[in-house]
Amino acid sequence: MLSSRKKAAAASLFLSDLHTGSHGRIAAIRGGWSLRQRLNQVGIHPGDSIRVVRGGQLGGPVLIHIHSTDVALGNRMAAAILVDLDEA
Amino acid sequence: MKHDTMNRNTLETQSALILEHPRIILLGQPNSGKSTIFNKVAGYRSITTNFPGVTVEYTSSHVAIGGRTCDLIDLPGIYSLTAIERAARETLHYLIEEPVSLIINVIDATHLDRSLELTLQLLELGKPMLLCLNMIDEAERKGIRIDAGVLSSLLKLPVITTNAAQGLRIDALFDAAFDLLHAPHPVHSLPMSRHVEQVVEALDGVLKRCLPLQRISSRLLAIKLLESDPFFALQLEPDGTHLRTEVRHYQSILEEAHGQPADSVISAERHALSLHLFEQCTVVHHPRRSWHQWRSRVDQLVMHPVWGYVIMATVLVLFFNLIFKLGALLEQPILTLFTRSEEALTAALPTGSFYAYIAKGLLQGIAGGIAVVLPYLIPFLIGMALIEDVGYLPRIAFLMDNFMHRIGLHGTAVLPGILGYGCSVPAIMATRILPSPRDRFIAAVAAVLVPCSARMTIIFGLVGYYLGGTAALFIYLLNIVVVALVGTLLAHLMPDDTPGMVLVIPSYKVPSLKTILAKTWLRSRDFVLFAWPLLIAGSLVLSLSEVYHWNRAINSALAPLLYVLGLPPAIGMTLIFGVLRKELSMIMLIQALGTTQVNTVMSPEQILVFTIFVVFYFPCLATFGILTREVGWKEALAASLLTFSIAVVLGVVVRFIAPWLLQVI
Repeated sequence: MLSSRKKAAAASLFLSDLHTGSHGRIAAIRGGWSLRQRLNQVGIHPGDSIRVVRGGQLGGPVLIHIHSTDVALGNRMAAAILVDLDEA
Repeated sequence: MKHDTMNRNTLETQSALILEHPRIILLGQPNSGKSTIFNKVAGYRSITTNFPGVTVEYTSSHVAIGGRTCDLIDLPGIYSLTAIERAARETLHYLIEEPVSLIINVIDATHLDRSLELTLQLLELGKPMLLCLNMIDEAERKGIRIDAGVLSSLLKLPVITTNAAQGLRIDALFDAAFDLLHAPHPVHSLPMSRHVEQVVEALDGVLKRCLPLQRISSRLLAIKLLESDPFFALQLEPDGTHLRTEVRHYQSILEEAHGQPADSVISAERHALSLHLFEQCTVVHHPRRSWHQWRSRVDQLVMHPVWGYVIMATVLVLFFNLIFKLGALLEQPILTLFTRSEEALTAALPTGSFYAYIAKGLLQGIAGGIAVVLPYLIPFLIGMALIEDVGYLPRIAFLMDNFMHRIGLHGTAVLPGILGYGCSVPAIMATRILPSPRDRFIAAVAAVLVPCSARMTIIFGLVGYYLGGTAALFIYLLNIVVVALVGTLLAHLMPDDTPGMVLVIPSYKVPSLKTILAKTWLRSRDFVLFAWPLLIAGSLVLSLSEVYHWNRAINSALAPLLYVLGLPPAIGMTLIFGVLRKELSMIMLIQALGTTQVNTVMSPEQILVFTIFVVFYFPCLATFGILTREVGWKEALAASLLTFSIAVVLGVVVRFIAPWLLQVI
């Protein structure tokens, strides 16, 4: 599964689908004004590098490491964030 | 390109204030240490917690530092000047409506990059300001070395480094603040990239022409209007139609040029500018590996999808066991003391006299307070403060987010729920950390339903004692199911408008004994001043009811309810007692039935029904009082009606399935 993702590196993935330990860069935030604002406020912007500390594939929250901060995001929040995985 | 944003209007009204009666505000992002600084200079008045966003109301104090005095204000933390949460709106409102002499922008040095985004916005306010780089030692440990001098020259602001938790350089901070007050120099906002800057300036020009007298700088207003900020949009009223069209026009210019919504363009600008500033004044080394690895290893375990829950369960079980063991140890001697004083009192005053009843009521009220507060509440608050200050609560919120979503809330709402097992009063006060009134209401209802330590004494004293430990556990599990169902129901009735949890997980911290004790005192004071008087008044009413034989009237009034529940009519009065003080239900049950052997007059089914009914039926008087204060009268009544209905339905259902149930549990 991971190898197929590596091949399709161009395609962005939803943060909520990423595995623990993935590295990537935020491609876009798909959401309304208040969702964008809430993410921007804690330093989450398109273009930023992130590391997934705890993945949320089972529908749970996602923990990411971004700009030396750990931020917990509810699953629905994470599902609004598109990430380009770094080539391993 | 420099922008002098000092608004002449605000400058003049303030100049008189600045020297006569300066008002200094502490402002920064959540969990940056504002309250810690405040408490160091003002004495412990503001609750600090290793959980972002705990200050929900501002605290103000008149302080004297080195012979100079000022009013110091601790405002709720905000991430940006766009206020989404209630606490942040309060801060924004304060900033705009109140005269402010000086802003101390408190920054968590370990998150300087993110914090500068707020600083850039604060510069637009055009008020005298200085930067406080707090937790500077922790940043060093993390390998972030900040050159305060460079930052100061980049922002043209004084920058003072502090370590507030250890009280280091707080004096230097306030010396600099007072110096700045006496020699204020204009604050300059930093320009954005050329195209965005041109748009901002153009709209700024339009606003300057159309809205000549504003309490806030027109440049800040222009930026916030481009960001579609609803709070600042109100500044255009009442006849803002023309201006709104102008704003729309400039927004579309940004959107066309950058291919993003205007708010994202501005936000990205600020983000890039902050990162640029950060890179210019900071050298990031590789942190000492041991430190870095230590935290991430601990978090790997603590937030693990399996071990995380095992650890959480262990911590909570240990926590409650410790409190209840300690409580039981302390409660016995206290109660003995009061029984003796009551005996002495009965001997001293003529039996059956009016004054004897009054004295008895007073004594029981005071004793009830002490017997709950000292043995249970204080150990609970100390333990809670410990868990809080270490920084474990946000991790619990993370683990519980999934479950909390099922009951229509987010992970953050788990805090009042946990507090509710101790006492509903502090639990309801803790709902203030939640962003919306809807979340606060649902969390408050959940907190009321969770059995507090007083109800625990009933569960263990009646069901646990007569029907066994499994039956007691059954009540706790039933309670969790009911809370989940009620939460789901309320979530359906009140649809969610916030998309979910966004919670910055703070670093672990070594808690300080002083802070823990001070916090415990501050929180128990709330109970002592608010709930205790109600308890004493309740006890007096109970005594009077004995004098005037109100119990007969009450018993017959409650007879239909007891009939439905299949309970003996003699115990009606105990339900009223339970409203006044939950743990009294059991004590009065014994009195009403005239025997300590409850099982000789009540069947096991009746004991089960009675306990379940008492656990759910009505918040106690003190809880109700706090509830009206925190969520409002109507909501408090609605919540109480809801819990009462739940209690009746559960009571009736359990009455009919009890024979089967008792065989199973």
